[in-house]
Amino acid sequence: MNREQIFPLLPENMRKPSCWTSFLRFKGKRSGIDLSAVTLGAGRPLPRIHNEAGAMKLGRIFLAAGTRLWSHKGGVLAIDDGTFLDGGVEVIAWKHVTIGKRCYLGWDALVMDTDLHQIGGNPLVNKPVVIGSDVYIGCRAMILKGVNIGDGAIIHPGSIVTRDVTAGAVMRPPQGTIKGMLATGSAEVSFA
Amino acid sequence: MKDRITPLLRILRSGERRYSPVAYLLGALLPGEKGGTGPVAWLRGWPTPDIRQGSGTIDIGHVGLYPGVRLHCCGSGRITVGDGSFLNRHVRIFSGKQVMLRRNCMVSWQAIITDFTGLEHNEIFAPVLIEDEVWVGSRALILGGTRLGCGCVVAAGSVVQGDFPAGAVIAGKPAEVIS
Repeated sequence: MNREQIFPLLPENMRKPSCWTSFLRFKGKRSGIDLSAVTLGAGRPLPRIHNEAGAMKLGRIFLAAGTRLWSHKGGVLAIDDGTFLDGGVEVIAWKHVTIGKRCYLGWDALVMDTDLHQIGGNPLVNKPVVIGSDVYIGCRAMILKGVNIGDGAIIHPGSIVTRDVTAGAVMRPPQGTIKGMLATGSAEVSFA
Repeated sequence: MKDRITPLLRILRSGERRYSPVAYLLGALLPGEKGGTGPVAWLRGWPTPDIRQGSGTIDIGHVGLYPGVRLHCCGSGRITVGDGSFLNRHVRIFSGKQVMLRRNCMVSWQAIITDFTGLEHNEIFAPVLIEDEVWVGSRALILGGTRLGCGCVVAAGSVVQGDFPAGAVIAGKPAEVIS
């Protein structure tokens, strides 16, 4: 499911470009980000694009309201043409995050190549994340450090990805199952 | 006069459950955009609920909407929320076909209810029906084709798709590769 299929599904007033586009492009230019090819979707909160002495290469992508791109010092964040980032997507690059062409990232998806914090006295772990082309990532999926996702993979909504996914694979989280039944009409819970 | 004003002040001062007069007025003044048909309680806080019906239909009764709630329709999508339900902070409901919550449902923080089925089905959208008095835990994800019977409880963080009888307690597990 690529940009051409997803785009008509957005509510009309999110499809039009944000009235803050010029402002965001100006702000981006000051921190060394070229947003000239990026479509910034309307709505609040505005896309937050932070470049803290890293590098950000953004092609002809669509950023919906509430997305957050963050390249930390020395991090590289590259997103290729035709990729669609829906509302609330966060991409955090402390080392290297690459996203290919025509991908779709659903609501609140999170792509992160770092642990952000040290655990105990151990050094901080950063491993690059590579996402191929035509990948579908469902809403609220989490792609964590060191993951390679092959072309055309489908990551279902709610998945947490910690290992590599081969091209064309389908990954889905186990669905919720019935753990017990409530005695209807009483406050007590009876577990079978 | 004091007797009349005191209950109002009590409501205004009762912590979280403060109504936002500005948002309420905005909702009343912009019926086409906001789409609400019932007396919705817009609870005070920021950001105000974001309701976009586009060419679809949003039909909500006596519902409490906390700040940050988003109700979005696309195409001919239809969202119905029955009387007595409340949607807690940052709940998102997205509909391309039909999402229906009946009466007295409780939906916790950051839950997402969508009729999007994922990509393995033939149809992109399948209707979601949530019956009376269902409690959806925080960060739960309810996908297309789901029917939850009366009084179901969905545990926090679970991913739910399918048909569940009345009174079921539903919980999820971490993810694994299937193919």
